[in-house]
Amino acid sequence: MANNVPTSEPNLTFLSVQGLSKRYVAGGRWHRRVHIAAACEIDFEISKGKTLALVGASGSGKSTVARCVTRLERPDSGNIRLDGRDIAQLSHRDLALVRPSIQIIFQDAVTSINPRFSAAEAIEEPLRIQGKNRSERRHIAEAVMQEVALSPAWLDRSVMAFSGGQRQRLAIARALTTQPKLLVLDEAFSGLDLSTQAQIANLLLDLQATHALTYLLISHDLTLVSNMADSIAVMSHGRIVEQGSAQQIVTDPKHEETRKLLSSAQTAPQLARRAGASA
Amino acid sequence: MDRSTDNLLRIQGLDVTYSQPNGERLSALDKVSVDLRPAEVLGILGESGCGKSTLANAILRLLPPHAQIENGQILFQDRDLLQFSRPDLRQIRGRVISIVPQEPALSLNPVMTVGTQIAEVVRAHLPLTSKQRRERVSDLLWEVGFDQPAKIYNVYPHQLSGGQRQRIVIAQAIACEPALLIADEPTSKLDGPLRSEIMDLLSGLRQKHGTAILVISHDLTLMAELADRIAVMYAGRIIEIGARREMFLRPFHPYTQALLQLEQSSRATVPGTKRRFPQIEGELSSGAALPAGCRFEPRCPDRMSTCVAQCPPEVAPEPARSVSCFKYGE
Repeated sequence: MANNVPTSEPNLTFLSVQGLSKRYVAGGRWHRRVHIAAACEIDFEISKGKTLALVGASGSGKSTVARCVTRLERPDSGNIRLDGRDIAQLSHRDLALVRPSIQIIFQDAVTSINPRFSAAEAIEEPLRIQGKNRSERRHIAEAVMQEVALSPAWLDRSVMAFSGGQRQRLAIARALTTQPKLLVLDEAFSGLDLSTQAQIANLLLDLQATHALTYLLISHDLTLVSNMADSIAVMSHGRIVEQGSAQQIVTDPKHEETRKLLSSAQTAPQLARRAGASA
Repeated sequence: MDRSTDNLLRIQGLDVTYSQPNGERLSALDKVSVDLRPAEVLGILGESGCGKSTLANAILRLLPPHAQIENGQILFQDRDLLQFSRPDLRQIRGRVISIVPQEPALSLNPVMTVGTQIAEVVRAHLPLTSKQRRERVSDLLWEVGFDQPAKIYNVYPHQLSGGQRQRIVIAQAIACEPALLIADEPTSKLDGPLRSEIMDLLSGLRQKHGTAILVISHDLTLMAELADRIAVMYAGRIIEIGARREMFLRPFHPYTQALLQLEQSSRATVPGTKRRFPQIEGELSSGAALPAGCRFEPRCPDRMSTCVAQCPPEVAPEPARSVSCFKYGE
């Protein structure tokens, strides 16, 4: 499957982030204003068709980076080069042209899809914005449903009739309608059960292979993402504290934060075994 | 073993369906029967879409309007909650039975301080003066692990982290010391350290107040830590029930076996290889596409010809254990 990807230019950088910083202001009005550096001097690169996993504990700033890369936030400083073009400070009008090639999938498909929509409405919304007509929209919707292994016959069902894992697939299908080049997956499969998690992860691996998609994978679960990622960057308190190939990070962690993430993730099966043996 | 007298909660033959916009009625729960003793922690384990949350919400009749309870009884202290009037139910909700909802962020009011929101629950059920109420809220905040209750009282939900919000919702749920606490995926959105915090909190509650807990989750770690007994759900049915230790040591149902196997193998990842993750092949059947016989049959490695047409009855391969699978007799 991996052979479908043209690998003639393996080191072609697709996304390059340099010196990205974002501060939030907390308080004000009644409380003292506090500036919180959510992301500080973030540097990383991802080659076309590759996956970088950005891992860290809750509150480490991963999602801020995701929101800046997708330009849901405007960064305070730094460059975000997408296929060579800096999008860090683009205006809304210019961004509209770039947006189709970047898509973000959130942890919670339940809250990111309008619950009153049918599956078709949810999936076709980006196409409606692009001004596609009814039959074109339907045609694309059916195709992306098949890509995420959902039956096109379910398009007229309410999104609420889908289970958690299926809704996450709907979110992926919706993202695929604009033919994106970069997918930002913000905890896209945490909170799902193991089998569903595996199905979503496998689906993403397949999609990457067939469409040469570039992934920025945001997660707190280092062992889960290490399998999918080519490289890993570890964040702590708004900074990247360690970065390297997936192999390096997992087998030879240098930073304390990395070790902590590795050990907390590995306790799950140990615990299950302990409960079976003791009690 | 007749346990009918000392049950706190007894659910019998519960059928729930959801109406679709096109008039279709999809079955979410099919003849679900389960019971819970006082101070017991029962885990409901299953993958997403199996009907766990429907079961949790059905107990307090919190199902959305397009859901119908078609059949069955929900006996709480020998009274059927399904026969209760709305005002009677309000006396039960939050006071005798309370629920920790799946999304703390969505169930808290963003423009009210968390202290006020906990006090609301207290005011609805307990005859306290406003000063006593404030003290009660402080005690509750302390109990769920905030060491500066006075500070937290005046904070808004968005100022708290996910784990802290989860604890606020738990404080609301235990405000009136309920006999039964229903916790729907209490840890699924939290990372490692925060998860153990919530697990400790829940097991502490049971020890201190004798609260029975119905914990709904797909998380084997949570089950291993918390549950006395585990009921495994698949596609709207309970397919196996047993004590925690036995369930982990000797899972009988092929689905339970597959779940445990998956937990072991999915962590054995090789960095950077993009190897596919182990999964239970096939998909959870739902709604209109439910098989006529055993619902796990299409994915079952041990399927037999009888499984296709007939629904496997509950059998007891060992004491205090029940499993619905033809492998263990009819």
